[in-house]
Amino acid sequence: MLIETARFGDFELNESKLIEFPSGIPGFEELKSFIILEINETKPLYWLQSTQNKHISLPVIIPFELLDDYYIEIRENELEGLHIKDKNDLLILNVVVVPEKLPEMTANLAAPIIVNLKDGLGKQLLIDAAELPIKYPIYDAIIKKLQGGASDVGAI
Amino acid sequence: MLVLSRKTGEALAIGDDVIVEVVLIDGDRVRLGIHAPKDTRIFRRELLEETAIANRSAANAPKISFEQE
Repeated sequence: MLIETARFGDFELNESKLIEFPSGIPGFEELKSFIILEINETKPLYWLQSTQNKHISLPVIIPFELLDDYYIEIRENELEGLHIKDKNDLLILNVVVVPEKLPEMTANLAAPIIVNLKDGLGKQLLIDAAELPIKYPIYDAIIKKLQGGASDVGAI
Repeated sequence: MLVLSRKTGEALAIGDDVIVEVVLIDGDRVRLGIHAPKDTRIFRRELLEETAIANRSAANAPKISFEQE
């Protein structure tokens, strides 16, 4: 199918890459379908791109790539809600707010997006815990990661 | 909206599984104790509002390039 994005242009993508968010995500409750884009230029930031509104793409991180001690408890009913039977099908993302000054970017650790990659289902959880800030400064961890390696463009 | 008055130590039930107890009242702050099934997420409402704001802000990201930085 043709995916249109304002930020990255249009491209063909296999429909199996679509991720359905039955409840949308807070702030975008009306958007139910996304894809996760991996763009070489912005790695380790990925993009949660709406397939319904080409202008909506949210930078996200995979916390386990950047944060050694990120820990969340996902409840059985939440896994069941996404039909996750095998933990290997689970992907966790955090939305990143990127202001004009890149070093001020923050990741929302309190609201992880959990995705069943196999069945293409996603949900944003809200976890009220002192150790999970909504605005966690993430720039330093990204720069540290970049001093590692690189690869090419694709989709998860 | 249902509005109830409760004193310290009093509680109210929501459905069969949830009890909300007033533990302490101190000026304009109230400490609540909540008994609920483990699979019920409990969070301050601001978390939902602030996450909605963060998601909308995230959609306004500037052009980003980390290459050769």
